[in-house]
Amino acid sequence: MIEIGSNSISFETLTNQMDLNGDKKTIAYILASSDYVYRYASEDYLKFELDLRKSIINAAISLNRSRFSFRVFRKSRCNPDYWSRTNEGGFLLQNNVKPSDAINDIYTNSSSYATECSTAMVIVYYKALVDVLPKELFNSLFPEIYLMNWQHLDRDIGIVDYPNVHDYLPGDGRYFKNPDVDPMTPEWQGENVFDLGDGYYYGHGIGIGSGETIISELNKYRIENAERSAYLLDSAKRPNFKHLADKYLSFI
Amino acid sequence: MNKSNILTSKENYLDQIRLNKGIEKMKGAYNDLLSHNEEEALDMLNSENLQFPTLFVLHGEIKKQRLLDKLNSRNKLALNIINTVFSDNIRFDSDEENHKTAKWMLETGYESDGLNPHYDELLDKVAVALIKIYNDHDSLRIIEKLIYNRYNRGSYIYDLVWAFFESRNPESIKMVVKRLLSKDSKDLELSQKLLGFVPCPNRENEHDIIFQYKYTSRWISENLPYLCYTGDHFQQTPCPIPFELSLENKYLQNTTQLESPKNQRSYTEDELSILDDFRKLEPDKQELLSNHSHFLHKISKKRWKKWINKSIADQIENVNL
Repeated sequence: MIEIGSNSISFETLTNQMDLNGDKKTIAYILASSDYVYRYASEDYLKFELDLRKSIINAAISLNRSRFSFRVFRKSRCNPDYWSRTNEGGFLLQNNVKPSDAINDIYTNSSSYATECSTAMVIVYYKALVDVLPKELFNSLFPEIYLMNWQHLDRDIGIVDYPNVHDYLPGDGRYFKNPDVDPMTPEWQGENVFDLGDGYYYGHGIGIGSGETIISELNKYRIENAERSAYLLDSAKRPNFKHLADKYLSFI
Repeated sequence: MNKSNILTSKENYLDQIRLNKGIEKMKGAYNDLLSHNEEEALDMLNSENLQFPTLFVLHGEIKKQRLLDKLNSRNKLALNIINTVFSDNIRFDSDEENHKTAKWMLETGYESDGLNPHYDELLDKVAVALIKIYNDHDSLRIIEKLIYNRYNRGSYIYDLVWAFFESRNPESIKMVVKRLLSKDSKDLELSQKLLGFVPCPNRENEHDIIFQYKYTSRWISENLPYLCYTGDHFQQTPCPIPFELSLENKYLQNTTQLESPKNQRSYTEDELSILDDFRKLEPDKQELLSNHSHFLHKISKKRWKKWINKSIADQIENVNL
């Protein structure tokens, strides 16, 4: 159920008021038909979450279509015009460039970049925000970006890995775990993915596929005589939509 | 050093030159020795006291000079491991000789970590193999040192951290707790990250390190027997929780075997019936009962047995008295 202010709002009303279609319509339907009450301060906050979720999906699909490659952190690479590669294999924003330009460069000069799936997830979040927020706001919110797995995310994105969620939504970050991974290929100990809706996921290194496809790919990298299959964890990662909407709405 | 003392010295002549004068000088000394006295050069390479980094930096020369067949089996196996890592086709055979070689590579090689990216990658693979293939938990101490040294200089730690906790060895947790007392702020920062599963209050207060250490040590000491390994790691989530306290296990005084792939033993029918009610409780009540169960079991097993067989309502009433 969706509550805006203190009023519940039906899916039909929402569809008419916000002219929803495609992924946004699907997300709104899941929210509206849930037993759980999703509360928003105003319609603008709901609209922002739908826009950002759609933007995450688009950024994930675009990255998959690009020439951005999979490489382990030790062999990662980036465009030195915008990023410095650190000792641990992360990409640190250069001082003299605009953060939004540097994020966009990963998509436009994608063949200059290669890394593992966790950093790819973080790149997708930043790109989704570049496309949703005004550039001036994005650059003031994220003046220092360090792309290295999940460990250096900006607090303003506010990613939380929720162990239990009421509903899974397109745009959620999910994780397929591979408990019996071959120890010589720890990069396949799991796959970070985005839920693209309709049972499809994007994971860097594997691409877009169903849950079964992701599991079957991960299972190829198990130890000999492995007993356990890869599986999808229950948890879901989400940015702090409310905090980001606050920043956006007070800026425009 | 007088060459007549070369083979009797405790420290290998080639290692000494590498450590005191650098890699290039050592390569020069080796090539010089080889051209004058091949047997002596090979004796040095094959001697028991050779350190792995010297073999590593000479592996190109050895290959060029076609000396592979004249090396001892330790060196042959080590060079084979180097080659497989560089060809992205690494395999460690699970026999004892390979185990010993991997152990030699880590033990004599970890102090040269940072030599070059290939070398560091190789050390990662060797360390992971020692834990995951050879189940060699004696290596945890060195792996811990590697992790903290690398964190200090901003190098890649994540595969080592993964293997370190995958050992499921309680000692790995205790080592991280001890680092809370380090005077190095980076050590402290990393320990706090790795111990994110301990619900320590006041973690943000950098000045209260002694409190953090004491609280964390006490919490670990009380809860270690009931921790379950989750497999969470830094590539998976922003705040991984690699170990999780099982309130059910603490409540039933079911000590977990962290080393075992399964985290809990099978329950008896009586235990299952007690657990049924326990699982219906709110988390704060579960915590209350599990803490009380632990306390009671410690002071009197007889009193604990009497208490655990009461109804849940009576157990709670008993705790509140």
